[in-house]
Amino acid sequence: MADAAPFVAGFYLDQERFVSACAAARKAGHQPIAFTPWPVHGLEHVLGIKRSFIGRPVLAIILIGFAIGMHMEWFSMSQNWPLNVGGKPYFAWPTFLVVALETGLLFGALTNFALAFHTCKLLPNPDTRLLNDRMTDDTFTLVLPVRAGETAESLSAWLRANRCEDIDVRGAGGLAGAATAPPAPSSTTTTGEPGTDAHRHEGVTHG
Amino acid sequence: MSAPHDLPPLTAKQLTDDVTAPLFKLPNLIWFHGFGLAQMLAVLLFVAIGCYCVEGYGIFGTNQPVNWGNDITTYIFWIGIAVAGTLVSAILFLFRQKWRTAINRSTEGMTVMAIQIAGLFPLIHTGRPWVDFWLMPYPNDRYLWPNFKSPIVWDVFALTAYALCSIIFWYLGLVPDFATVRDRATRPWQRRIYSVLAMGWRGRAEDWNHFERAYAQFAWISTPLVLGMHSTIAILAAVGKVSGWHTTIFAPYFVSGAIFGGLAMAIVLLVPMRSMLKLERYITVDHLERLAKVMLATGLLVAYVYVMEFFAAWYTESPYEKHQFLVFRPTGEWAWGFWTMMTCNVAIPQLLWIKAVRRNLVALFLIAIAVNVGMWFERFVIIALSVMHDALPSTWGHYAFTGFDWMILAGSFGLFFTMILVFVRVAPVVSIAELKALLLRRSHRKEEADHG
Repeated sequence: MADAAPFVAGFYLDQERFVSACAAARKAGHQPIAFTPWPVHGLEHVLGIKRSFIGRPVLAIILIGFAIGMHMEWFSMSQNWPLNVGGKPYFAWPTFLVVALETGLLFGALTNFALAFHTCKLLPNPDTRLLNDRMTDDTFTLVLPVRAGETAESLSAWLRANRCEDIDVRGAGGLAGAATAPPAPSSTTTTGEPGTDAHRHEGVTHG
Repeated sequence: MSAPHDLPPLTAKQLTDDVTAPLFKLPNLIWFHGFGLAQMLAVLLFVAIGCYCVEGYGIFGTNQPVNWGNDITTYIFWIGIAVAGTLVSAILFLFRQKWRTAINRSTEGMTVMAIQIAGLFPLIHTGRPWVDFWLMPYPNDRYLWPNFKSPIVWDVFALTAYALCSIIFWYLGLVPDFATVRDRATRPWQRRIYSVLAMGWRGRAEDWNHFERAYAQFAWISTPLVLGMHSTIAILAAVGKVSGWHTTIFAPYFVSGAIFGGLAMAIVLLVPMRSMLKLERYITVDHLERLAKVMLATGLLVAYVYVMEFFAAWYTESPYEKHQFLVFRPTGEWAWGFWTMMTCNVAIPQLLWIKAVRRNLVALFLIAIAVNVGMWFERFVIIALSVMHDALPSTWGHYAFTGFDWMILAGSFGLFFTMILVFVRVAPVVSIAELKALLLRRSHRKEEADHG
């Protein structure tokens, strides 16, 4: 993790400024990674994020679960141990619908849960440290990876030009700690050390 | 959602501070008293279950012909409480009712706790709880399969699926908020615990995109699950050829009754909780008033069904139905239970037509308690009274609570409130991220409008 590609993070308190900066970053050819404390609707269009794919797999699993449930009932009630219950047919499918439906929906719910965790890369980690503790409170973060032909300084200047309120530079050897942004007049947050451990900036190393 | 005017303008930080504050400080004396009382009651449940495992099912008042008594009544009561939580978290979500955001976490919490308690009662009712795993279908050398043609087995599946789905739905919604708590925790042990619970959540835009889709899909999955689950319980009774059960109206009747009683429980929880945790700004009187309106609407549906049952009993000319509805319930040995139900479920909720009553929290709290009492008696009247006087007068019997019945009933409330009181200390009771997205966007728009 310590060898993660260098990047510059810009912190915003204002949602509109942040969304504008994301749009500008994308337009300028950067590869922005955005972190928000709450879901910002419309940001996915700005960043070109496609609609989540997890709908169809869940539907497929619901249907498969339904088929498994129905098969289980057919097998146990009409094949493995046929039992005459009130003169009903052995394979009385209308009475089997409820259990099949519940099985399908349960499978779907579990798949939905697993896919949500998988796509968001959620794993239990007792040592999680983000770049800035207020990333999950009121601070929006725009991360720009330093690519060939760019420097941390140039990206920092770009972020400042796009009205960010604080800057953090990470993973670029001597550049770490060169958080050079002047305190923005409107800034009431993200002062001090935006992330204290360069080895544990989960904020981007998985991104 | 109007905010009191004497408060500072709402910011994201303010919202985080307010909602997470109870997690970082010692609870007040009221909490400790409540927790102690709830635990004492909860102990009764476990003692009763222990005695029952040793002595057998005979310690309860259930008998022949009243083989469904307190345990199944209380089971359906708690299921109903759970249903209302899913109404707020899933069904109102699908109807784009944004006001639900302030209360969905707490009502979902109510669902999760209530469903676990509800699940205890059928397990008690089987008589031999140590072989309850026979309810599940699994290949075994006795060739024993559950009878899938029986609604009782449908209920096992419906309840299991619903309980599991509710718990994971609730947890998924909590993940971003646990991350917020994690990043504010100052004590290392607390930070580590919330780090594990938050699963490394970072709030990347792509993550929110997947998260919101998954959340919406959970709402789509939960809605048929919850409606199906309570309808299954209703069908379970309705397919029985017992006067008082054998009606086609049972499924919508049970679902509306569940929402009615469950919202009453939500009000019973929210009114003290919002002041104890100082969340009046977020869980406002407006929210409670809306809950009261939904409660009134479902209460009217329930009242309509009561009337229809009388009408149907008269119209069918079945002597057993007529006896059950027109004679035994209103004038029999349990008539006081029937009239308690009528008073609490039909008469008292009519006060909610008055706006001043809906907005008076003390009145609302008392009405909600009355509805809870009434809804327990409703289930008792349906379940126990119907089998007490069935279609075979020679087998008619009586029913009386034993001390152990009181213990499991009071104990279930004790366990419920114990879990709720723990929940409000360890998890944010308001959905922080969702509420920020809603409130701050609104305030921003308002600012724009104010500045022309």
